[in-house]
Amino acid sequence: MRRWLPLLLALGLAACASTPGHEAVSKARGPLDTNAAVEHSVDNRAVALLWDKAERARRDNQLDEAVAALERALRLAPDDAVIWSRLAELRLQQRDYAVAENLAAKSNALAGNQRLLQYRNWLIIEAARQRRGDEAGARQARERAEALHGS
Amino acid sequence: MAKRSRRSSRRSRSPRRRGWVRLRPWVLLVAGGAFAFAITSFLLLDVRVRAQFGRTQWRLPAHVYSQPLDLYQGRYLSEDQLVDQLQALGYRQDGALDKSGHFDVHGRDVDLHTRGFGFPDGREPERRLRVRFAGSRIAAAHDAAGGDVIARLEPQRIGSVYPGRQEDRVLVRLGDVPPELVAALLAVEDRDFFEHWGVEPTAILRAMVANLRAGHTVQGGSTLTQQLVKNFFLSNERTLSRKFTEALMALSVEWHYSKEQILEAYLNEVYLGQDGQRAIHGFGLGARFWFNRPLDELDLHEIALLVGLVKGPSYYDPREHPRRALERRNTVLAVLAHSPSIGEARARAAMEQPLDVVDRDAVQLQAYPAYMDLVRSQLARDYREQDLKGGGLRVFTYLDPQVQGAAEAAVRERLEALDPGGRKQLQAAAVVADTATGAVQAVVGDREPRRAGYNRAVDARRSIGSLVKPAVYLTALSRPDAYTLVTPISDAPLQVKLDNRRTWSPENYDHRNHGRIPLIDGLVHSYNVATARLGLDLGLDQVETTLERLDVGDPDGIVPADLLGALSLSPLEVADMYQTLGAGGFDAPLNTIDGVEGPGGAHPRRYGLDVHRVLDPEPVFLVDAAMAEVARRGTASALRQRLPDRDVAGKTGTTDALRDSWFAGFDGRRTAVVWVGRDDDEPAGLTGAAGALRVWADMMHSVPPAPRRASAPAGIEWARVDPDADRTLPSGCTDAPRLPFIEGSLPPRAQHCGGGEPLGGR
Repeated sequence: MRRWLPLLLALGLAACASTPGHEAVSKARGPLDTNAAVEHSVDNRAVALLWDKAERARRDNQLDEAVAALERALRLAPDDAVIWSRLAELRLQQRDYAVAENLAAKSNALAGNQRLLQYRNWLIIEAARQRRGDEAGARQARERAEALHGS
Repeated sequence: MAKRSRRSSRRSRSPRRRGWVRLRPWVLLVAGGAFAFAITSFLLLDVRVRAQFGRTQWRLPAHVYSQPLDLYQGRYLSEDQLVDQLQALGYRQDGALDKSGHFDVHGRDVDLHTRGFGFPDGREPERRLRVRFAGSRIAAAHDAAGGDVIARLEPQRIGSVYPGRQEDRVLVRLGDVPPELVAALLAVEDRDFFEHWGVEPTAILRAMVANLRAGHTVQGGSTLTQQLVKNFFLSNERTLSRKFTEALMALSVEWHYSKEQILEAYLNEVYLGQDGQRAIHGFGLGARFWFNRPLDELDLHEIALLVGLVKGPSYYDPREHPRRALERRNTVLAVLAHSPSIGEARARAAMEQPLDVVDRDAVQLQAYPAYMDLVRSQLARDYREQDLKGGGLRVFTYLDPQVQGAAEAAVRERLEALDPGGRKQLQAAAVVADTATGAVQAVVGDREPRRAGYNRAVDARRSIGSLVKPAVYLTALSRPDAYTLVTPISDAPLQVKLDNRRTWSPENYDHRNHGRIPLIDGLVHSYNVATARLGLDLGLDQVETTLERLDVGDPDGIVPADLLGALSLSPLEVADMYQTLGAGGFDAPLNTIDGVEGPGGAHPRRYGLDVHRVLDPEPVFLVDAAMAEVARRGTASALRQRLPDRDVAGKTGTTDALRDSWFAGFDGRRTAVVWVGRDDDEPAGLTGAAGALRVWADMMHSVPPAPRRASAPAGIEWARVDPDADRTLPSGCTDAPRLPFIEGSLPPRAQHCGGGEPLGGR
């Protein structure tokens, strides 16, 4: 039951959020279920195409290709916090933990008031730190994530 | 005489004999030691020879590619730019669109059939595209089915490198060179090459006799092997000991390598000319440098000239001394007349030919030499030589031909305007990189960008002057409890007692002091005094920490003069520093290489994007806002006219006596740095605004615009302010400036738009 609470809260927050580029998490089994598709609407057609390409590649388990597509997208839209976050998730899947944490931190710096996104990023950072054996750091990340729930 | 010998023999027979017996073990020891020493020396020399020789061996070059041109709706690109790129890639404008490599233009539509390309991240398919233009952008990019696409053209090949070598080469295989070349070389330089052991005493004697007879040097006694070995040394000593060492090394080379290998190495190493600071080595490169053609296309008279140059490329320089060169060439041809493979008739006919050497300006040895220079050193730094040895590698870079073209044009044209004909000896460098990812898009190392040699962008370390100031202000703004953009600071005269009992008394450029000023103005107007005071108040160690985080710290610590930029950096290092400032405190290492791939796509290796948070984003945002003001109303306000619709931020830099002129800045996508100055460090007579800023503006004008992001990081609040009174104002005061503040650090609010009391003093 406890696992679903964050998701419900997150969806609730998403409903309240009025920031640009908000995302819909569909059929997620948890907030950080990277197997779920993430929709991301952007103004730039090229970025949208690259995002779709990355999602398709990820579904086919071609992670290198997905990463490359997102990196290309970032050169066109360097301030898009969602792309940085998705890239961080891919790196997490590839076990590049240090890089995953760095990219998630960058996404946070660009996230402005997108609390759901920041929440996701802190969960990525928690997972990255945990798998590198940094228990204390992982706990701190978890606390930051939880703090985004309240208020 | 006899008496003495008798006396000496009588007296010394016993002692002498005894002496000799006593000496014998010592003699053996010394002799043994000397022998061991000789063997060890020879072996060490041998190791060295083999290492050097290994580097000369022929290998397949790695081909280096630019960033491919992306085609997508909304991209800033004109039809002409697309057509130029297609032509550079060898596409034919003939409407035969059923085959790849063809295109057609109808009004503002370009129809093309692309060639596919295997990129390290996947295959780009060959396909038909229609690209429609409107204004200065692509209005639509569709495939045959009418769907929106983002398509990549093949990347442009911009050069070749031989991994493990820093210099430019065009390597040749022995089997591929014209036979006349080998015949000529042996006939003129080393007739018995295939017979000797590396040194030829008879040749040395023969040469001595011939030279004595002629009264000057007409023959060298060195074999090709000895000449090759001479190239392994950096300096050109002609001492006896050096000659002896070279002879030993020649023997060593002959011991390990076949005649064919030695000859091939020689063909690729021999010194054949000088291009400014860059030496021309090898017949492959020599053919391009002197004739702008591949070696295997040269005619006999041209080959003979190259062979003639071996003896003295400067003395016989055909561009500087054409008559000497012609004589030398014909001397070579005269020798060849006796050679059975060439014969009298051909040689005589060749002697009638003119030199046929092309002007230096007609030769373009390598496009983008400064960028390639950086690619080579990054390849060497990041890949082990064995990874690259396979041959047939492909290196994909971030070079953006559009941006590089803009940078080159801006540097070349503006420098010509500032310093026509080069009489003032001004030089320049520029670096452009993607702010968020650190991808290097353009590098210019010389005011004549196509000239290879000294790469100022990477190798010229110059005082950065006021470019350091953002680091000082950043240090202050990282303490929101004490400093905001409007905190009053003092610009009153300053005198500091230094350790060595001298007094340091910095002055502003306008030689005035401005009393109490809002902190932001110290950066906007680049006040030396206010900045120095601020830095000292903060503590030099605090500022040093900031510099370290920006990767430009000094391990020995900083002194007060460093607050005003006494430290020296290259333009590339400055770009690295400003990249971090432009990217919200996230350092992305500047990188030219996107990926490397073996032949047929084997072992692809990509540099993944990684960033490091080295500074808190909120104070960096404040400094960036201040730098935007520099461009709006400060020392770089000329940008408002030159780039009216652009959203840019940056900092001018001028060093004392106007020795260096700098500008470093960024827009929403790129960070760019320009330096202008003199190589001999004499005053250039230009402030940052008068020199480098102009080049920067020209360059950014020709590059697609990219607005800086609208939203601030969380934890930033904007407010209307009265900067001179250190007060915020009610939000309705629309005439007052708006500035960002870190949450919780806002100054007290004044009641009405008139603001609070001014800070006092001027």
